[in-house]
Amino acid sequence: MKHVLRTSKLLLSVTALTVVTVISLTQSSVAEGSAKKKIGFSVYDMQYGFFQEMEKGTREASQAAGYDYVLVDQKSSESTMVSATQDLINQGISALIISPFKPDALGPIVDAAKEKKIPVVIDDIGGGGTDYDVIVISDNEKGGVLAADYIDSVLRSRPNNSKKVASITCEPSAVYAARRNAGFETRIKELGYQVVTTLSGNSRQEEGYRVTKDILSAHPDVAAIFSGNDPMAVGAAQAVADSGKSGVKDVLIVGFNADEIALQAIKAGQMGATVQQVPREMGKMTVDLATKLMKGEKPDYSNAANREVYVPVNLITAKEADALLKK
Amino acid sequence: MRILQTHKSRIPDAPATGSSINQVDWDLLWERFGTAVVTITIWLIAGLSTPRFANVDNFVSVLRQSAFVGVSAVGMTFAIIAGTFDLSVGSTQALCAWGAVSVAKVAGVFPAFVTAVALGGVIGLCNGSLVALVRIPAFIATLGTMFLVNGLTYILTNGQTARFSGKPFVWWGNAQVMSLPVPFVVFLGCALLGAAILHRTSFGRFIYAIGCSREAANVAGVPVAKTTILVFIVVGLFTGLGAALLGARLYSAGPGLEPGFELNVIATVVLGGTRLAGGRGSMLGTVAAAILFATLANVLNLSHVDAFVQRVVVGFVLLLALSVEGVRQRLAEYWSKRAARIPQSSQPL
Repeated sequence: MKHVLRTSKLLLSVTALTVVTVISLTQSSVAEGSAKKKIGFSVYDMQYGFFQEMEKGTREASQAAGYDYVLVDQKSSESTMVSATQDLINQGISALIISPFKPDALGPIVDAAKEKKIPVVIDDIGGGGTDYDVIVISDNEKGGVLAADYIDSVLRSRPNNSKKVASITCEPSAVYAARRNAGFETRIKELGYQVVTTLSGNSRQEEGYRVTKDILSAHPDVAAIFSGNDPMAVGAAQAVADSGKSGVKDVLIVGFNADEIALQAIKAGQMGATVQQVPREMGKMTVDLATKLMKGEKPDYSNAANREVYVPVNLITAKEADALLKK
Repeated sequence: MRILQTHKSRIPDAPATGSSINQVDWDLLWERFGTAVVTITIWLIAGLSTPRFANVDNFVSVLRQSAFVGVSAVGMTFAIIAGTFDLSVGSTQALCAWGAVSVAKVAGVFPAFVTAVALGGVIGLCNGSLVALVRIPAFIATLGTMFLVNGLTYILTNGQTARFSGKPFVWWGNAQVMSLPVPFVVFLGCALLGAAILHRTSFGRFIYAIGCSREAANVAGVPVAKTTILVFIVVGLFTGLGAALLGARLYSAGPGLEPGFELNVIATVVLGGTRLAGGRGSMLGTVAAAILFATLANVLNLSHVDAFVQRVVVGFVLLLALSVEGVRQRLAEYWSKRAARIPQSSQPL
């Protein structure tokens, strides 16, 4: 047992030494302190192209503004989202930008940031009902309006089309995506069309297919369908094709997201168009907002009640789809 | 009961035999303190090389983070010493954490923790019964419950996250007592309790016996089936407790809480010096390894290691963790061979 005892003593002395070193280091690091402001970005998951683009925008804007830039990856895990972002906050950042994997778990992060008086800018996904400073999202409503205008411009040039359109929504809990359909429906009614039905495809391709089949049998003369995301739009295009019609010439289909499957479908003439979100611009916007917040200024909200700022979206038709696919 | 003695008999009594050979059993010392020494070394290196590592806030978050894997790893240490393991702890964690958050919302903190621990215990009972009574190999049995519980969680939650930020509940995940994070204090308490059970009770001795040799333990009259079931229940109970703490930390819980959690837990236990084949292992090692993994994740974030490179590093460390045991055994063989050679060469004298 003597040896074990001796090792324990050794272990204790090593621990003591560590503590001493650590304390001296803490002192020195406190003394050092840099004047340069530091932006911390906690990204959803760098495996996805959308977030790679968002990160690029955030990084470029931070560097252009002369900030230090620090990134952590949540790797699609709730637990990592909180622990990695906590690591970020502990590094003495001046502003936190986060695209949360689970907005519901934002509570401890926002509380920790507020305790250190660090402004919190949320990039997309959702705010989880927390006390964040501002949230940046795509202008979903405008995207719906763009889709409505496009549908009108195409149908207007056709001689004997019906004035009937349908709308397919994402899953009910996706509150931001629901605005796409709301924007679309309001605008298309203004343009003199009738929305014959609004059905949920739960954001999924196969359900988009199924509800489109239902729409086609209930309203065979429907002239256009707007879908809240691209997987459902592609499902709708398949359903239209299976009914022996064209997703461009007979029932004009428009999606949202500019996913690759949709761009391929547009290129192949199976659907008309989609609406593109611009994550890079969203990233840039978050840095601009962080700058304002660090100066103690109030951001120019697009929607002050929910502290939202919108980033513009683009309409993608066959011409642009081709260019995007080549990229 | 000789098998029970093998573990202890390795400790050299170091009587004054007059021999000049240092009889320190390095293998045993490594098993007991190796991970602790490595952890402290890494802290030293990190402290010197990463400017932001050595500050109080950061230590607090490293220790806090170690607890969520750690509490479950305390239970897993029992299983691995007994020569088995449990792949279902990841799914169990998600279900228990969701249960805790949902119950905390309506009934308060104590019922929340009881729910999580009880759910874990029930899943452990299922696992244990499948392994000990139905005789399904632990790998398959716990893989089955992993899918089953995961699916069940999605059905129960409808894919949605439960959220609750009541102060008394989130205190358990976020507060500090005497500048130590609460989850870490709970973790240390669990480890002490675990060590006491392992070393001071007949249940603990049975676990070591089964891990050394199932057949021998059976012949020696150890209630193998009962002990195995209890081991899985212990894993479930600790996992449930750890899950409730994580739910409190995140103010929320839902399916897909922490992908790959089960492997992190098993890697932690093995890195802590517990032999994957069973029969040997200690709680101190598990505590040190849990802190080591949390430190690693933290240092990688602090030194701004690229997200993709981080995955490589973590994978590398996992491999390292799993090869440590083999290397240690080879070293042990080498040392015992050397020890055997020396008396021979000294005989002519």
